[in-house]
Amino acid sequence: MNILKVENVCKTFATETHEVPVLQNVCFEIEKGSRCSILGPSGSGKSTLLGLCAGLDRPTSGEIYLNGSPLHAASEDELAAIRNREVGFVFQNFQLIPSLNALENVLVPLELRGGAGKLRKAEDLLKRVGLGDRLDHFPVQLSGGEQQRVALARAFIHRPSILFADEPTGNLDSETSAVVEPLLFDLNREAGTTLVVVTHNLDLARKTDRIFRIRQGAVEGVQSL
Amino acid sequence: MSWRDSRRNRFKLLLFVLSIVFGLSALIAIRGFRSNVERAIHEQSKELVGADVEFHSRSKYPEEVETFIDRMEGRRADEIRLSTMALFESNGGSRLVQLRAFEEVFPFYGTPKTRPENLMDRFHSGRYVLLEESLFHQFSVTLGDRVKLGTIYFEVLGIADRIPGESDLIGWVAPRVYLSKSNLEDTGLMQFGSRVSYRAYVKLDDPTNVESDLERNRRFFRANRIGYDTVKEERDELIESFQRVTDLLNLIGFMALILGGVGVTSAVHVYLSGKRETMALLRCLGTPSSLVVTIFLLQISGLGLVAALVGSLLGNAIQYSIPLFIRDFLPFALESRFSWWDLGIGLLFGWVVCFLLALLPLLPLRKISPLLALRTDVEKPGTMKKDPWAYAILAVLGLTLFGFGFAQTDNLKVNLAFSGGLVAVLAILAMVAWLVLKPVRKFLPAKLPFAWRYGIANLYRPNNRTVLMLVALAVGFIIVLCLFLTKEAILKQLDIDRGESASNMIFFDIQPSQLDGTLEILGRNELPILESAPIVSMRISEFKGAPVRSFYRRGPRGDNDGPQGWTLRREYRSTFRDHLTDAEELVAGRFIPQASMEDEPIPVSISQGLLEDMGLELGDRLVFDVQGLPLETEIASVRKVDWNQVRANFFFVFPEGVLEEAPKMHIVATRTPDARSTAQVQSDLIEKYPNVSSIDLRLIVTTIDDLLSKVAWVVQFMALFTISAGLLVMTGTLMTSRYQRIRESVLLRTLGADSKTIKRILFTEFASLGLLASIIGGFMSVAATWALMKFLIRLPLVVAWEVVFAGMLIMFALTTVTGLLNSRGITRQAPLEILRQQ
Ligand SMILES: Nc1ncnc2c1ncn2[C@@H]1O[C@H](COP(=O)(O)OP(=O)(O)OP(=O)(O)O)[C@@H](O)[C@H]1O
Ligand SMILES: [Mg+2]
Repeated sequence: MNILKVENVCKTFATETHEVPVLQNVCFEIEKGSRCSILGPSGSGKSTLLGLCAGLDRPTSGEIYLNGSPLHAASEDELAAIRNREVGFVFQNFQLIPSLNALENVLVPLELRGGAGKLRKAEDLLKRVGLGDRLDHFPVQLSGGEQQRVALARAFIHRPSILFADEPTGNLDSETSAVVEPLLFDLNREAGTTLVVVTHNLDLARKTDRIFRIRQGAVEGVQSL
Repeated sequence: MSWRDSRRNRFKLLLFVLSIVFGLSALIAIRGFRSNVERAIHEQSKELVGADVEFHSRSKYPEEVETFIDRMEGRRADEIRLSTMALFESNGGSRLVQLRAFEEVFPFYGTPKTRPENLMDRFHSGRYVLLEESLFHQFSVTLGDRVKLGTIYFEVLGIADRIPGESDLIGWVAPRVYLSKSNLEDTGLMQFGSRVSYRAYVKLDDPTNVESDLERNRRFFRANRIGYDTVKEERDELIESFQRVTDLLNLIGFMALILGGVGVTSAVHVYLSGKRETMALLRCLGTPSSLVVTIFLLQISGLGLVAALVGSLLGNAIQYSIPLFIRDFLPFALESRFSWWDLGIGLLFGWVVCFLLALLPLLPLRKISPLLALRTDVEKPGTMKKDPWAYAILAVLGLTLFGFGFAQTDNLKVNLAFSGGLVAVLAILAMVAWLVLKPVRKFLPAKLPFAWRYGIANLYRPNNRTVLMLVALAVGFIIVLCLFLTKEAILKQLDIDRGESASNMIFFDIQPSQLDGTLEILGRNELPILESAPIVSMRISEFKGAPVRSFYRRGPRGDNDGPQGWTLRREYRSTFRDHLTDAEELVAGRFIPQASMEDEPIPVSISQGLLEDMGLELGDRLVFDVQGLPLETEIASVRKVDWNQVRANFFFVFPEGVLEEAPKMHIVATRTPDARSTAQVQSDLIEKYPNVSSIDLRLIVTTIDDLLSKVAWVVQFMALFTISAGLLVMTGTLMTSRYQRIRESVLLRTLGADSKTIKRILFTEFASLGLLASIIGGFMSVAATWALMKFLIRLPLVVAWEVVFAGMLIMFALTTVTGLLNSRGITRQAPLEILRQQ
């Protein structure tokens, strides 16, 4: 069964003077539980595509189905509900909420669901990523690698069916990457989540089941490993 | 070059540079007002007094004084003032008035202002009176109507708008009635001899040395209980009291300016954050940092000029409108004159202040390396901590403010205290805000819904400047509320309708022979006698064995532990009875109900306040001069008197059996159900006993209410500027954090928050900000009112809680709405776009 189905998706950004076509007729499907990566040169539209698949924006034309829900036709609030139910996120620049501490950051997706009192779960998850002693630290008090590990915990806490990661190690040095990267895959395996990761790093891409290559807004090739 | 693309940004910047306009215009207006008032007083001071010197006394001048005055080289005019009842034929009403009966030669300076004009010749030619305007309204008087004073009728000639010799435009308790001195004898009012005061005005041939001449004879006048005023004294007094009022307005203007200044600094700060890349680029291209800073400075000082211009124009406009509101309080004509010089000064001042304020956030940019500036952490454009230049600028700023605001008063000590007070008030406020803010987060219950907890946590966002916002919001609010509360508290003291047993009418100057008749008239009108007390006038002649005259030799205020001057000089109206009333409470000693003349020293009871002011203790002795008869007394008991109960309260209460034979008068209090029965009993009494006076407390309360409302209005008008500046500071501060706010809300939406949740979070944040601000504001204004009432007005505080809560509610709503208005559109951004900008 396919958890994500992208059909003929086009995305155009309108600037003041002219229109910039970023994605053109993109089609692909991703199987539930699989892991794939998106590779491509800078500016080719990877982040845009990932954002569309996650329901962070709507395509100019075409259809996107996430676990059967049509993202292209959903309202902002419906998209938010779908994201909260189905989607996990990891960003290149961590995107933690500065006014909340590590534990509170991890708890946000659960709390938005209205499920309070899942403290134990969040604590366990933070312990799992090796931050059991930093629960009450604020983002500014954490290093980049630690922040990304908090972000990983946050992405998995609500057991999403699909996880999108946009260059998760892009802002980290190689040593820190060597900690975060396996963590991402391990957590993914434990949770059985579908994983879509955008990366420049071929080594990381090779660890996934399939690689989509994007060039100038179109899928150029798919490589199964 | 690159500023062209930032039009919208610049507009916003302009908007917030304008936040200083409120403070600026307030200060400029007050400055102009001050100089207008001072000029008016200087120009009109002789007309205010009407002569070079004025002597006044409670009793007829002793022979020596008469000779002294007559020996002064110049001309003399006499006046007699007395309080009495006036009966208005127009509608049969009557009221306690103050008669001013003066001779035709008075005033020597200035002409009385009357309506119709030029009435004075006719005024002195027959039985005519001039009335204060309020009497015309109250008794529907028309020109030619008759007024009965004592036993004879006078014809109303016109309205007296301004007659020299008084510094209040309105007689608050007793409106004024003017007549020619030649008519006074015929009224028969002089024969009772009470509540009369005598004045002598002298126009000197050579007034240059009058102050020193009089000063040399100071002790002589004191001993004879004669007061005097010279033009210069009168002028200085007036100027001083006006300065006190404008000092207060100035203080409020300064608060608005300081808040506005903070607003400007943060607006420039926001603007510069957006400009960092341009700056760094310029520097990468080799432009020296001083040039880069100069370019920005030019821009910002251009905006400062706009703000200064708007501020001085607005300030001048306000200055022109102030006299319209306070005309009623001014004993002189006030005209606002336009002066290019003042406008220029205001402009320069505004511009310098703006410039210096803008310089502050610019400072750190000098040090930023091109590389650093190009990095993406836009949020912190450097800090200015430990930059000596920042301190220098702050110092110059302080001096400029100080110089501008206080240049007009010449008392440096007062000014320093004032500035210190200003800083202290803001510091205390900041501390309270911090103290309130701190525990909230700690004790935030984990059970609260997410949006609530999150919204409140937002107050603690790094760089959020919540304390600053709280202070800015609370300051103006506190001023306005404090005034409201003070006014309410004063009025509540006077609230005569609070109980069935509280009196609202007092009759006094009742001769012993008239007492039964008076009580009978009250009975006929079915009015209760709530109080009836005999009154004996007396003065103190010996204080603890020393003659009172020996105390006059001391300095004007005496030393600290001696009795206060007024306590020895005044005339005491004492009563005698064999019990304490329910408004009195014995705090020391034993109340002696009965005594006789043989028991000298007579045991008397003293009020607690007077005991302290006189520095007395139980057992101390005083000798009273009871209209010629010396009477030795001993302090036997101390009473706490509840002065705010409307009834006759006395400093000294004698036991029965001593004063019965002394010349005395009676006071009777009653309670009338409505204005009609008040008028009825007044006219009944005046018909039978024209010398008996009455005070209608209802009328006085209305008058005081009116006065307080007008005063409060002027101050509150100024305080509105402070509130506006506070809201602008909040807006500016929110603008600073808007970017962060948007990013966070996008992040939350990425994680699945719907727009409702985001809105709820924003609402919670601003609502809790508003709640905290209104709690702090409410608390501090009650505290400030308490201090004001206790130390300045010296009345007990009755807090009008409904006013406090209404104020807090308004404050809360204003803050919340301002916050939400500033967050419009935050939920409309597409998440991806914001996330892209990392
Ligand atoms: N909101 C927008 N407005 C205009 N153009 C946009 C917008 N968002 C993206 N683009 C353009 O779309 C193109 C693809 O952007 P995208 O961020 O998807 O690239 P990317 O593949 O993720 O690149 P990188 O590897 O550098 O992150 C770029 O050329 C970008 O300029
Ligand atoms: Mg990208």
